[in-house]
Formats: sequence, structure tokens, C-alpha cells
Amino acid sequence: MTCESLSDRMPEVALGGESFHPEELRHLETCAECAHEWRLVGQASKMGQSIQLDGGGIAATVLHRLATEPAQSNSRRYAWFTVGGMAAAAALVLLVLRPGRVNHELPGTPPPSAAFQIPLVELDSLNGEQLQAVLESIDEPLETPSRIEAPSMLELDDQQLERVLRSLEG
Amino acid sequence: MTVMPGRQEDSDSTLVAAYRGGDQRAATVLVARHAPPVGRFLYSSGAGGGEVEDLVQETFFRAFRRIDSWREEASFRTWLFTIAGNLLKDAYRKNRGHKLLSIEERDFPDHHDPHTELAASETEQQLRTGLEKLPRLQREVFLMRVQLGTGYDEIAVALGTTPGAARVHYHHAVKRLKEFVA
Repeated sequence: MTCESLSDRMPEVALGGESFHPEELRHLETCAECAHEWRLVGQASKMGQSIQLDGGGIAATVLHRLATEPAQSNSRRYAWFTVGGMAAAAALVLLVLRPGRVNHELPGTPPPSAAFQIPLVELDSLNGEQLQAVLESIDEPLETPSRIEAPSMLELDDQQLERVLRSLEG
Repeated sequence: MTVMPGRQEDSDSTLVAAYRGGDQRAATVLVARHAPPVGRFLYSSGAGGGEVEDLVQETFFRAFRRIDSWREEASFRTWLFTIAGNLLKDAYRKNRGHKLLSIEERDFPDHHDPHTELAASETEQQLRTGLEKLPRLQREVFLMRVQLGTGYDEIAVALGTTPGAARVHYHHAVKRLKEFVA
């Protein structure tokens, strides 16, 4: 017999299901650690025994609640999840498609990843100032005259025209 | 508490089957049988004397509402202890990490409170304080062992761990509690 094996048996003995063997009893008399543990386990096994509960009242209240409080079924939860998911998806689409969102970005917002960049070949030929003008014009009301100095088709060479056509035709 | 004759001797499985079949008297017998140990578990886990009854009620409400999830892998009582433990955890989270059920502030002997007056003893308070400071798993394993006599295999199923880990948790709990209880 070891302290550990005695320790494993203590709860069963404390609850009255088993009893100590003579050898274990002798060990408890000489081993202060095991004696300490035995007092602890004995106390813990009886802890809260003096608490009085109104079992009849508890049962009645539980049954009343079960009868009156509707259960949140899985299908209802799933429905809310679906509606929530669709709403989130719709909000995301609106955010992406909303005109003028570029200028509303907070300072320091990281640039969109390459995966989300849409190739607009016709913008490739514009210089920095022209691109800025394009960006600013996106937020302007339609009736405001555009400040974009878009290059006329006539000013484009054959190669540039080809690229514009390819971008329009997809 | 009055229960229907003939039902007291029925096993938990029989009573649960009867309740599933619409017999509410079976639920009444189950509450009468298991409410006291569930209350002791909640009290030992840190619930204040005045809150134990409400928490026991909530434990049974949750248990009966999802009675189909009891598949007899663990005893009905051990399963109730698991629900009660989760209930305490939820209460703790809702309180944003503050102890909802503070032993130190609410449960030392108060002779104006009949619940604590009945329960208080110096050693018991030391033990409760120690239990409150244990990690949840250690506390639950310890209480399932010493208040129910549940074996490590069943504790492992109930708490989602292994029997070996449950045994380690138990011995860690004992070691730490020895520091609190003279």
C-alpha cells in the first residue's frame, strides 16, 4: 500500500461505500500527510449538507418554466444565422459597390491587396495628377462639371487604343 | 416533498424515459432525488447560500430542456453536475470576469442569514475559499470524486478529458487544498 493508493480510495470511504483496511488505518496513524488529506476529503464530502432546498418548489417552478418558456429550436437559430449571414453579405456588397467610398477611407488605411485590384487598362496611361482627378470626381455629384482631363481617343496611339478596346470587350 | 408512490424506486433511466414520454411526475422525482447533491456541488463551487436554490432550479430547467442530450455515458447526477458547472461558468463570464458568487464577501458566517448560519464552520470556509481558487477542471473533478464518488472514467466522459488527466487534476486539487485547510 502506498500513500497514493490510499489517496485514491479515500472518497469511497468518506462516502460510506467502502471502509479502510487495518493496514490503511495503521498508515493513517503514522503518516501526517495522509491524515491531513483524510480530514480534507472527509470535510469536503460532507460540505453543504446543511443547506435546505425546497425540492417541491423547485420542481414546480421548473415544470412551469418548461411549459411557458418557448424553446429556441435549432431551426429557429439556423434561420437567424441565415438571415444574419445574408445581411452581412449584402452589407459587404454595398460597401464594395458604393460610389465614393475611396475618399471615405481613413488615413493610413492599407492599400487593397492585389487580389482585389480590378485591371483598368485605360487608366494606365494617366499620370498622377490625372488619376487624382479621377478619384476626386467619383465623389462629385453628376451635375458638377468634371475636372478630368481625359485624353481624347484621338490622342491615343494604336497600341493604347487596342488596350482600351480589350478592356471594354473583356 | 411529496412524490408519487412507486416512482421513488425507479432508476434515473426509467424516470428520464417516463419524462420523455410526457410524465411530469417523473421529473418531480428526479428533482427530489438530485437537487440536494446539486445544491451542495454549487455551494462547494462558490455559490452563495441564498443563490443556491435559484441555481439548482436553473440547472434542472436546462437539464430537462435538453434531456435528449443525456445519453447515459455518465450518470444522470454527474451530467447534472456538468450542467451546474457550466451554469457557474456562464454566470462568471456574464459578470465580465468578476466573481459573481464571492465567498469572501458574502458567505462567511452571518448569523442573520439562515442559510449561512446553518452551513458555516471555519474549516468549511477554508475549504470553500481553497476550492474557489482552484482551476475549474480541478475543482469539478475533486467535487465529483469526493461528493459523488464518481470514478475517473466517468468524470473523463462528463468533463471531456481523459481518465489519466482527471486523476492528475484530482491529486493537484488535493495538494493545493491542503495549503488552505489546516
